[in-house]
Amino acid sequence: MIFNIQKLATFILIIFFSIACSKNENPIPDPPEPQKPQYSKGLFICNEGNFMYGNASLSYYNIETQTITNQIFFTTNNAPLGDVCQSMNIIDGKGYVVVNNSGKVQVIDTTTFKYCGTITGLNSPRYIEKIDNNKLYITDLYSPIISIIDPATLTKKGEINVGRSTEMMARVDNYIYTTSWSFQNKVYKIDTRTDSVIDSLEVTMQPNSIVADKFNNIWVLSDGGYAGTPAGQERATLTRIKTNTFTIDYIYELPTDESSPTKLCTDGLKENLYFINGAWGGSVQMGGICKVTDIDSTSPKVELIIPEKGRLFYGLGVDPRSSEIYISDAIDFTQKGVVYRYSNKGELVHQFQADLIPGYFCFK
Amino acid sequence: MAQTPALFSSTQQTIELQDSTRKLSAAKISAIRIEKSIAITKTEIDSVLLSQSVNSSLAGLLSKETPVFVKSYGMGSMATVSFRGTAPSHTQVKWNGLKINNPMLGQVDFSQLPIWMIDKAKILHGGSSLVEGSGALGGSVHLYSTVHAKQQKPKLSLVQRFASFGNLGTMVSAKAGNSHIAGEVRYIYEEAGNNFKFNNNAVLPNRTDIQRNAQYTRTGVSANLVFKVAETDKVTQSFWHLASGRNLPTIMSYEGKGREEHQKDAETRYSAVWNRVRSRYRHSLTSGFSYNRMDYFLANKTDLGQFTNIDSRSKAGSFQNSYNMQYTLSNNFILKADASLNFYSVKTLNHITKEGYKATRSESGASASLYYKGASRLNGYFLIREELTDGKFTPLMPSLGIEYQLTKWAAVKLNATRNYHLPTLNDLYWLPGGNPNLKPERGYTGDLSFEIKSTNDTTNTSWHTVVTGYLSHINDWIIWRPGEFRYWSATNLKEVFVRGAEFNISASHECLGALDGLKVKTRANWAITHTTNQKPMDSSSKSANTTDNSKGKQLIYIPVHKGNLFLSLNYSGYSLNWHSAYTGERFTTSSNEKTRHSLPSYWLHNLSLKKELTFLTKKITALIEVENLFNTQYQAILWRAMPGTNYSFTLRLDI
Repeated sequence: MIFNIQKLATFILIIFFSIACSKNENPIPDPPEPQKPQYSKGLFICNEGNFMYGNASLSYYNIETQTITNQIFFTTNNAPLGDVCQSMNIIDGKGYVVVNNSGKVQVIDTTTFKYCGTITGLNSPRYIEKIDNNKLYITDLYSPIISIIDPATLTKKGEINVGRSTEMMARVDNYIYTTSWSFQNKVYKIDTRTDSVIDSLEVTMQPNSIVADKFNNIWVLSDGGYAGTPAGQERATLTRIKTNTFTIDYIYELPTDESSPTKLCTDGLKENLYFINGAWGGSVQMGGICKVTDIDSTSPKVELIIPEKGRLFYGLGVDPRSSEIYISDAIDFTQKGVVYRYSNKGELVHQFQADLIPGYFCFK
Repeated sequence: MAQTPALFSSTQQTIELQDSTRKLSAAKISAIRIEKSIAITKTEIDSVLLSQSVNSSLAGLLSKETPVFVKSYGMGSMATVSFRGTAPSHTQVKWNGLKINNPMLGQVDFSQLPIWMIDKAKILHGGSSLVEGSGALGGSVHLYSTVHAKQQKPKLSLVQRFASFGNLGTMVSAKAGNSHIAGEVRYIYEEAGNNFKFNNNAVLPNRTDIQRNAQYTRTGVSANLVFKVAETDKVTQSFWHLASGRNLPTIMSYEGKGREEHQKDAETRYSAVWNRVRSRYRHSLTSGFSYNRMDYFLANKTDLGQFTNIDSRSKAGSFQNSYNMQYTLSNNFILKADASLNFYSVKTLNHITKEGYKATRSESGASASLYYKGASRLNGYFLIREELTDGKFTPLMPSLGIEYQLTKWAAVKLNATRNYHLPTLNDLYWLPGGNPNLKPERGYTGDLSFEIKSTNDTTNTSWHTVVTGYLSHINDWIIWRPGEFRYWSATNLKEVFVRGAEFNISASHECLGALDGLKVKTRANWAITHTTNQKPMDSSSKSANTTDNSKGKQLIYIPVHKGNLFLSLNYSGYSLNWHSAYTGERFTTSSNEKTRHSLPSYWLHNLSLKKELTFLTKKITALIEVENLFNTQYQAILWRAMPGTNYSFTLRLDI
């Protein structure tokens, strides 16, 4: 009985906070209570699946009850999600699931998981972002444009010619910042009012992820490319860019040439950064989840908080409400991957099995 | 190393010699029969069956007739062949003694081997393949295009095929010669629209779609010339050129703006073989080259025009030389030896990303073997092979085969072999991810087979049964691990244990009495393959990954059960054939997940009716075929559309 009341109280608390948050345009929750962290309602896990196998899938993890349900899209809608599920974003209560190699975005109800429509006619979509009530941006790996989508009709209403492939997007004020990863070294600044590229900046080779922090800076993580290719290899870096001047004001170099960092993300307050420092087929100095603190100072601190220890970290997400850390291990990339849920202090909270190649986390 | 086409037809040739010269004794003929059959597990596909199957692909034929597993992406698309749960690169393929595995990929695309250009095929299962060369951890496929120097009338054959989905084929061959010189030229042209309808259940809402972008064309020319220099010597030259262009269809869930994706392949090969047969000695010297081009192109259609993503062009060349000799020591013993020296060179470049590599490889090898044919029941061989690749010796590869005749109609065969497979040039040098420190994959194989043969001349009935059980252990199996942003890389990671059994039964009967002349033939194959990964990921590192569920599980895409059935009725120029093939459930995850990650088993049935007519001296053959008779919906590869029932009509004229 006591247990049930406690459970109910937690549930009400979560509902209360999520309603409070969802009304907020820019969801920055109140500072968490020191005793009881608030969690997101749930977690969608994008399981990439194998390229050209068409076996991508969506999982849902109930954070409160610690239960995982795999294949929610197929089970609900009786059709596969598609080939290579790259990312997902919840926009106005709908889940936009980007299915990269099927050239489409599947739209679902985030509660019932029912299919609501598809944005088709894309090339190799990577990420989707809401700009305003009338437009969404979708970046693309195999085309030089960002598609502009009308969320009401799920059809394309325009495009931005970037001239290169584009990846993740970060927003500060009326500007979207995005990177071009494949053999490129550019960050582009896009004015969302005119839907045009207004500036670009050179960073270290192959910038693969970008985030905005609470100090109106953007951070770019570059993996440096790989040795032996004509484009060459550079030491991987984490770069801070001042958005008011669009200039680089701090560069952190990863400790060794072997480092190939990925999946830069922030916590809910956008005051700490996290990324995976990995190396393929071997261990690397500071291998695992690195946390960056004092991010507004002249010398931010980078420390390893969760060592990789023989695992192969693949996906990384931080709960915007609880700042808990979710990490996936794709194991051999041909079996169900494991997701580790860690407290913000780096203690393992729960470990569960998602589906094939869990690569992206989307908090509800 | 490389066996020659002449060796293959050794019995026939020897008998010709015997007839003409009367120099050879009976013992020598039996000696030659020894090398053909002693303790070797093999399947032969004879020229009759091949000539009856000119319509189908070699991949399709092997799938129907043998226990090998064919993984095909659909009509005209890439098809690979694997034995006993090993990888396609563990299948060594030779044409007229030349190794034709692509040195970059290590495998052969069987869709590029039209039956029209092949006269004979032989399959060596498991360790028996070491007799013909190393590297075939699963087994080897030997193809021969040849012509015999004998007195013959000039012969012209024309074949025209019309099939569903706009698929057409034209084949021509011309042959002429006498007992000194003979030549033959063959030509094939195929084109396919491949625009079949299918139920697309990979999109919402489900709908009927037409397969797009699956067209292909293929043009091939081959020529064979044999010249008898003397009674004991002949020189055979063979040329092969095949060029194909094919569009690559997207997978069923694709709803993007559109792509242009295609692959162009061109393969040119030439081999020259000199054979000398003396009373005790046989020699053959083979020299040849092959040149392969493979271009892959991917572009996405955007509102701003076409955006080229990949424009990859690869060239691979080889120059191969081998010498084989055989010496009859006594009535019981034959000594064989071979030596080879091969060079490979590859160059590959993606013109968009400028990624690519150039590499060469030199490979030399030698083997010696002793064959024993006992006076009564025991036969056997022992072989030692050694190879030197780019200055590195592979460890010795021994092979032992013993055959014991239990009764007149029953025999047992035992084979034990150690074999090595070199990393492919992509495994070593691909940028990024190739690993120059890779070790060869090493395999130990043993098999035991039991064979029963019976022929009853009074009832015109014959039957043949072979049951083979095998065990194989492959260590340092090379795999590539992919990752977003972090590149794929090759490592000697897996340890694979294969065990299974192959059952083959065939029977034929010729009726007398009321149904006089009716011939009934039947054949069945069944293969049970358990091929499991024995090593969890990262077991080499100190903290073993306890989350890995792949240990002890079946490798992906390898069915445990695979079988086929064939029934043929022949009566007064008519021939009715029914083919049925079963493919068991296949897993697509290394942990063998059932839900959503396994492909259900399926049966496919084909029916054909043939009529042969003789008109003056000309022979006309008409053939109607129905494939996928019951319109089975199935997936051979995850979310790849396959055609339903389809038809073809073929007319053949032999003048």
